Amino acid sequence: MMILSLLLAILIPQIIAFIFISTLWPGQKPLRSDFLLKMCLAVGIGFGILSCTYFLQLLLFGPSRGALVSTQIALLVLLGAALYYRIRWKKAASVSGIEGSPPPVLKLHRVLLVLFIVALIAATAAFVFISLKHPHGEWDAWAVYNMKARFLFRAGDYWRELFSEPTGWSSPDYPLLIPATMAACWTLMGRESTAVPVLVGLLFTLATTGVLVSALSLLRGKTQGLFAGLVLICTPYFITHGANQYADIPLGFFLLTSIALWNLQDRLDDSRGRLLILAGITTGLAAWTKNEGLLFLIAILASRFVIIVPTSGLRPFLRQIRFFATGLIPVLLVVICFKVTMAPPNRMLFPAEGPGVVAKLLDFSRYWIILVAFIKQALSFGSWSVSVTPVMVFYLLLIGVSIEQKEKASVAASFIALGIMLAGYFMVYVLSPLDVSLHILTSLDRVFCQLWPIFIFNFFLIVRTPEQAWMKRYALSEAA
Amino acid sequence: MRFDHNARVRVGVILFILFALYSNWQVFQGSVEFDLSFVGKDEITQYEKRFDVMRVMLPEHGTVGYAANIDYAHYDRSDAAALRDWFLAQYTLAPVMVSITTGHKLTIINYSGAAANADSSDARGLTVKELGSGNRLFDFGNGLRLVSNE
Repeated sequence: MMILSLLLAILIPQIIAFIFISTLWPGQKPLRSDFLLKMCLAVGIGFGILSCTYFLQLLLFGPSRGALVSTQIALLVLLGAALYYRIRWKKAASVSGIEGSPPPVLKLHRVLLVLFIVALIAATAAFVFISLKHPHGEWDAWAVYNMKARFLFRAGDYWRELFSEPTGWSSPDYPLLIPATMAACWTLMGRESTAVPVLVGLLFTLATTGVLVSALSLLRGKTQGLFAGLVLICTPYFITHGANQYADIPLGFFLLTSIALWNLQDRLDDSRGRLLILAGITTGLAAWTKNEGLLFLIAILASRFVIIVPTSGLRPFLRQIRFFATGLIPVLLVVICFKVTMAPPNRMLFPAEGPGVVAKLLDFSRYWIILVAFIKQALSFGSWSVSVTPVMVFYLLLIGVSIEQKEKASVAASFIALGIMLAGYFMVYVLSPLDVSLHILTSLDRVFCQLWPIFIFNFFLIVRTPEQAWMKRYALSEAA
Repeated sequence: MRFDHNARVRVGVILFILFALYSNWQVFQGSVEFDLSFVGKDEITQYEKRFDVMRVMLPEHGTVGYAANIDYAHYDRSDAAALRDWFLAQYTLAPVMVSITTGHKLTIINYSGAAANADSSDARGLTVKELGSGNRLFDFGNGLRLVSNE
């Protein structure tokens, strides 16, 4: 009975999100087309919708299991009806129809598929065993996210007391996607279980890999998608950190999905910008997961502005932003509602004591400490057996770069967004009220982990596919 | 020997795949154990069980005190073990707010680690001691004590 209620609590939000995504998805077969990508998107969007409805219900009506169950059923029925209408009446361009992906070299593709599945099973097994050893997760998980989830679930009408503690150790200004998701699942189940945070962590970890594989498969071919997925799923820190139940993996999921959806929309011959609506939702959910998501919102808007406006003018930019904002604004309103009604001021931005902002900005020793730490982290990130950075550089030099003319703007925007995120994190450390070295020591690997899926996505977006590398050889020999 | 473009690409792809799979194997090997006797015996689950006897004496919500060697103003610079015990107590007892401020009707004293083991070795169970002025000390015999001034 407990397993059934657990499965229902986890699956119902995914089904709701899958129907919602399918309703918006471009294509003549909205249910079946791009199934893996939509299923993986549904993980984050499903938990996002669940956590937002749960928080709004708490805020407006107080805790109620019956009301939450009713809301889920109502969403299921309404979205099911919308999807039925869509399938019955509407037709549009298909994402799968993207041109330009070279056909896979069958032998390599099959070998990669087998290796990827083996690596996926091994990583999942490792995740499960780490979770069995540490079912409550590591420090930040039990001290912050899971503690808040317990508070929201157990406190009943007194849930607001969570924000009454004057000290900032539990980061009361952190948004609530992860705690509210867990509390909502427990509410749907009618009981508490450590299986929920474990499953939420596992689903986000696997879904991030799934989005990477499926989005790159559409953009650069299946071999490239599998290759990128293999690198991500084999990153030791990505698996162990996912099992630690920190919010960095869910945040990384939303950052990756937002970037991937923008890239897919750019390649799609569809003027309705449906994928941008989804990108708006996932960007909003990034801001609902961690405060870093707000920086990502700025990064996305700035990168698009810089790429589109100088070449095409303001009108195309505003047109894209209109679709993006349609998805973003409802989620952002929830974040603003939380920040205005519940969250105290951020202790990093508004420290009670210590040197002022100008003093820290003018202290160049801080910049040097942070720069050295960033370089060291870039060379050692991921807990790989050997540093992955030189391996990737070696691979890039060997295989070469290939960006089609029509992709250049999208790819540049993705790199600019990544650059803004890195620069933003750099400045957060410069302005940190904590001891800089200690702050870096306790957080830089997690910060890199948030950006790691985007980095792999961008890397495999520009590096030649093995098929292209082989074709180049044949082209050269034919020319000779 | 001629090391042509095709061979270079093949070597690059194979090396990259082997490199990734080796790390994958290391994580798998370091995590998977066939003896599952460790399940349910993790540190935090054990830690939480210590509080079972005390929980019935605490309110369903509201704030209780927590006596610890933690500087209220600079708690983030305090002893890591003391901080961990405080945060774990909060995780265990939520939605009761466990505060290191003073002036509460109930205050938890938490000796964990070696102190808790030494204390629990006599396994004497709950003892109550009058401290005067209406204050009472409940000693749960497992490193946990509760001071009540109700």
